[in-house]
Amino acid sequence: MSITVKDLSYVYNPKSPYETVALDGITLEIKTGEFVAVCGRTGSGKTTFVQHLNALVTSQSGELVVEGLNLTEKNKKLRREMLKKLRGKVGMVFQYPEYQLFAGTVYEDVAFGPTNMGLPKEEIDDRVRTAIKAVGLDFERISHQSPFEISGGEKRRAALAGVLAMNPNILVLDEPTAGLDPLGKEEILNLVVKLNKENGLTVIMVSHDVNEVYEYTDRTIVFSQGKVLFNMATRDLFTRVDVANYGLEEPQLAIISKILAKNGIVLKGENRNVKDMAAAILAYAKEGGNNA
Amino acid sequence: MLNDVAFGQYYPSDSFIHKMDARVKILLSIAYMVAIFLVKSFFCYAILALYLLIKIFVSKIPLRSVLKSVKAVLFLAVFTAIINIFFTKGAEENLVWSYGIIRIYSSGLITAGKMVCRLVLLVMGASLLTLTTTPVDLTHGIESLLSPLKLIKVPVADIALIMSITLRFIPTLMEETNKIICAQKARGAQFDTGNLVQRVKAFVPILIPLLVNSFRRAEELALAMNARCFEGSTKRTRLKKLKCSWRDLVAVLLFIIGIGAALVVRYAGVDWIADLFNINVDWMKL
Repeated sequence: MSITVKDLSYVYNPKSPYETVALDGITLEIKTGEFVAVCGRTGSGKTTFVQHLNALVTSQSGELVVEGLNLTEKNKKLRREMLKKLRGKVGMVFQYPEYQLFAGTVYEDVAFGPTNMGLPKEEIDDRVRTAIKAVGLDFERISHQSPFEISGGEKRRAALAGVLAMNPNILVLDEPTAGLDPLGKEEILNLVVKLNKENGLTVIMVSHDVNEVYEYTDRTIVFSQGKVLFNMATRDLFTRVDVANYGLEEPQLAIISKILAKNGIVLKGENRNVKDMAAAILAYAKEGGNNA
Repeated sequence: MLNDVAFGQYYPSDSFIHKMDARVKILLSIAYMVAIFLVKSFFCYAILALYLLIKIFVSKIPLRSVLKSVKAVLFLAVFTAIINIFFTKGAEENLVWSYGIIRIYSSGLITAGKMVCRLVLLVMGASLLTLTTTPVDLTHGIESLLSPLKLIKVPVADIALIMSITLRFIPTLMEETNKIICAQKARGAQFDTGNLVQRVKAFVPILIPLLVNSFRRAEELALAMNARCFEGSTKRTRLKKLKCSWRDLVAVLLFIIGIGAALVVRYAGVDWIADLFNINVDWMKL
């Protein structure tokens, strides 16, 4: 088990008029290699939850174990050691990560994480090269440019490379596609899928876009008012549950599936993207609807 | 990490003081601060402290929140106290304690005590103003009070605009700073270890993105204002007008009683109290 959460609660500004309950008894598990989406409205506690996974928020109550590390450790010395190990295991990509670039060149910025980990020079160089190539950037062209000179999409990839250079086992992404054009969105998501499938990274993605959640993720956890509302296979959630009742949009492909099902047409396969869906409809039409 | 910086942040409530006119609050706060520097005896400070406590009680703000502001100047207070204790020279008969070249006189202890009283009263009084007044009201109040300066061509409206923009962006920048700190921490940055040079260096990855983002934000704001034909120099109207009410009159009267008492003690002395009530008043003169 990659992540085990038990009865986790968190309150902002306790004992003041600004007191807000962000998490209220969260219990869930995430397996190694899963691609999990975290959904919920603004203020539902999803960001606070993912920040717990990297110990950026100090847990107040409950249990939280990530990659065998106890994040609720109170002992100061043990906690410091735990944090050091944790930063290398959980990579966190924040919303609009391009606003966190700071170094003189892209190379230096990507090297920031590995340098903080205290790795030897050759290893850092190796990791920086691998990471920049992994996000699909041209190393020769871009590594010596200032991160403020390159384009928006390139900035975001450079920021992602900075996290990947730390070789994490778990990748946490907070709305990685926000503010990107459709093509840029697809590129980033395909990159994340590749990291998940080929490199075996456990991916946790916060997203408001149900279409991308439906197409790319295996499981969806829906937060509402600090609690877990749903925690189930993505396809089951959007095809079997009437998500509109819970403030969630319906994915377009799920709408099509439902309409077809209502008219007695049940397609084969999961049909999570447009191409699969079209193929399934074609297959159904060719077989004259008898073999569904 | 940055939560302590926000001392004196507006504390929502519907108390008597919250409903007062911001201009009156500002003027009374200034007068109160002047009074702190006019009076000189512990008895006077006690009167002012009593006045302040009543004010805090009426404002329905928990004492804890007001004391938080004192925490911010604690170092300064302790520092001034220590300097005064060790470096005030007094008459030999006032020597309290000596060791080698260190000589502590009772007069030094008294001066130190008064300094601390002054600082604490000053900061608590000032924070009470910001705790009970929204930043918007505060800016309106200042603008309104400064408006006579328009006659000598001081750009009061522009100053007020600068102030309100500044106040408006403090929480935004704070949030952004926290976000950047989180992001760099996630990449293994450490801000609380290493020697001084390393610690200062550790802040570069926070300051640069913050600066870049602030410029971007400023430009966007300027464009947005331009797009809506904003002009600072024209006469502007307000959604909420500041109005004086009976509350302000009552507050002014209470102020005159409280601060007046302290000033009477300061300038008329306390001997008349001795004559009137036939009691020993020497302790009031300290």
